[in-house]
Amino acid sequence: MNHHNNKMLNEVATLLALCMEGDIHPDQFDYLQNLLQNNQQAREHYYRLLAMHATLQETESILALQDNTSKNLYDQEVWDALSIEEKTATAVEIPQEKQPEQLVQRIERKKVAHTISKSSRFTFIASIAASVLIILLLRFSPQPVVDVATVSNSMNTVFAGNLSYPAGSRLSCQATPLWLQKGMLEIEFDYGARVLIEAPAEFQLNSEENISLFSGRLYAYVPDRSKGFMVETPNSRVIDLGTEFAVKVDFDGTSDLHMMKGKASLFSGSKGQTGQGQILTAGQARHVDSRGDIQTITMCENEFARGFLAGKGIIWRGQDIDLADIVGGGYGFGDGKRGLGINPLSGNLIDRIHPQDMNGQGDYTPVSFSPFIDGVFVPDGGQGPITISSAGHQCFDCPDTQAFVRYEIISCPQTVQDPNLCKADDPRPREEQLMLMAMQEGYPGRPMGLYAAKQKPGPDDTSMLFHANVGMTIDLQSLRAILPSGKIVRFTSTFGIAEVCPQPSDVDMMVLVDGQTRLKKLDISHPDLVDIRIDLTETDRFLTLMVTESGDNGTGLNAALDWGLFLNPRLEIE
Amino acid sequence: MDKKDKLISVSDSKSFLSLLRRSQTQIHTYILCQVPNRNDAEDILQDTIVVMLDKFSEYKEGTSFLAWGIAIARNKIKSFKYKNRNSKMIFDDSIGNLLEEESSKNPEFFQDESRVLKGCVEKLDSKHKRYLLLRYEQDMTYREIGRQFNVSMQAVYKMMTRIQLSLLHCERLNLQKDSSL
Repeated sequence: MNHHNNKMLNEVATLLALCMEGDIHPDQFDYLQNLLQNNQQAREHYYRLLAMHATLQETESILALQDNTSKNLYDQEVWDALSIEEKTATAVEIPQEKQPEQLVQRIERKKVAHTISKSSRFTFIASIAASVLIILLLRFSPQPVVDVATVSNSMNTVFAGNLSYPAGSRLSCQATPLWLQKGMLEIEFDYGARVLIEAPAEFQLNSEENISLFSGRLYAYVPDRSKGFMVETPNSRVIDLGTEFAVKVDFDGTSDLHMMKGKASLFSGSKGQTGQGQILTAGQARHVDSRGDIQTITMCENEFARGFLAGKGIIWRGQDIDLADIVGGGYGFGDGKRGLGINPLSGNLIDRIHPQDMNGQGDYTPVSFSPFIDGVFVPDGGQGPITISSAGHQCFDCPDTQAFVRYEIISCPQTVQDPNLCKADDPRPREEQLMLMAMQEGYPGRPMGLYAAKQKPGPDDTSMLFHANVGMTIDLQSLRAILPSGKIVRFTSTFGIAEVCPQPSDVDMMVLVDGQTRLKKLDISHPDLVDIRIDLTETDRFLTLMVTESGDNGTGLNAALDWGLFLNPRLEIE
Repeated sequence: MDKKDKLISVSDSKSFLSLLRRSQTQIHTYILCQVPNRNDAEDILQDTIVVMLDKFSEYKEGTSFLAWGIAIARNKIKSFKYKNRNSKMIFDDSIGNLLEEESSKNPEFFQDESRVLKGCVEKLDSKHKRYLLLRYEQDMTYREIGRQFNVSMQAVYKMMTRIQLSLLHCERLNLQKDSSL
């Protein structure tokens, strides 16, 4: 072999190997690029090496049966020539392996970057013959008992056999399944997939990218780098292609797959058996029955636990964040209490509504009882811009008001079911009596709705009473911090005058994001409904809602009867 | 049934698989030429196959399945390059064109490639075969192979380069022999 030729061959082969393994340095990459640009022979070598690589990768039979001792030793001349070349060639720098640091406790984590393995991809390609009976090509070799995942979070877990796996525990491939009797467990596999398992569930970890679910429910987040993650059930298997999905296995062994994002291959039949295959995309769901037939079912968006707050006992199932629930002292997932509220002057959580005439002093008051409410205020733009966030955002077009307010901001106000219960000798307005009888005096009540809405609110509807003049700012960043996945993409609600508000009444309503006015509606009166739909980005921090008096309704006190109501105030998550 | 739900017929799926098996290595090579990172290339290959299946009804029988697949792969590569346009590890388009020329020189090359390569692999000793098995069957990284053999990553790079170059040499000899027959 020609020396110069050999040197170049060696360089191209080594640089290509560095490139393929993802270890190449930018300078080396530039060098390879120059070589390929200017040298025809280098290009030819490069191409041949890649063709060989692809052939070895794609053609199973070349290596599969060749693990025997060779019949013939290789041409010794070639090895000798290569050996000489190695000694004389210019060195190509290969990244050094880092020495492990001395740690108190060594937790070995394997490489995260990963794509579908060769065997999985063959199965994937075969699966493309969807709905055709196919022999599954996956090869399953016995796995050694090694650590493959870490418990990243757990909540009130109880395992059969008095086993305990607190957060931080390493999990290995198990010979026998684990039986999670109570609680929630979040597992992070070493190849990057994250799985939430909800009790009761029986499962077994098979490898860094494979889990068997024998009964119960799991929700899997599989990042792109972990494509090929597999969930096996007694009668099906799911090979992920970079997705979020949920699997439910009933005690009779039948299974459901719900695709939330991305796509995955679903095969019926247990391993080694003949089965059907389909590729599912986001929004699709399938049931695999006891015969292995795959049937289309309705997607269940909010049935599976997707995250939890261990310290608070809160489980998130993909539902939107309810701002009324937050005003009621909750996390936005139904854990707050209806009827609670916030005093717009003190920022304190109050246990029930207290009608009283209050006057704001132009202050922005931080709210300490909820991490998600940044602060509250009594808006009055008559003296110039007003502060509407703890970061100093200001509203420059707040209407001029009397800075008067009568009610707190109330979560899910109620009114009595029987309006005839009203007391004739009570000096308070009849409508206020109806609300207070339900919310303070224990008379049977029903959720208060909007005057202009055709339907009365049902038990799942929620609302926030914003009696003019009040404002509240939500800290979106604090909410993002507790979301296990997903983005806050929108604020939606329907706004109008509360159904039992005395007439005439009118209000102004504003929605601001980081001090920028996104919606401003003036003179909203009884017959009006405002559909609110404010798109949000990941950088938006503060969402401010503000209701102010609008003109003089003849009472002499503009804000006295201005009951604004946000119905179903939600932050949508995608 | 919506488009995403569509299932291809038994005969179509068989013919797709048959055509794909004959062309997949070349499509993979084509992608690797332009995107020589194995994980990225496999992702692009998978995406390409999904599109090929989706659009299989548009493939005209009698025309080149490979050329059709490569055209789809080319679009996928373009999209990958655009998404990673800020990366320093993306080849210039000019290199891509030169390598595309290289791939079009010997269209018959792949017909004999696997047969010849198989013969060459058979001649390797068991240790070298083990390296290839770990790399291509077990899909291990060089770092993981190093741990298996208890050698440094540098040693694995050197060993794999030697094995690949010797296989390349063997292939050339055998392909030359075949052509002279």
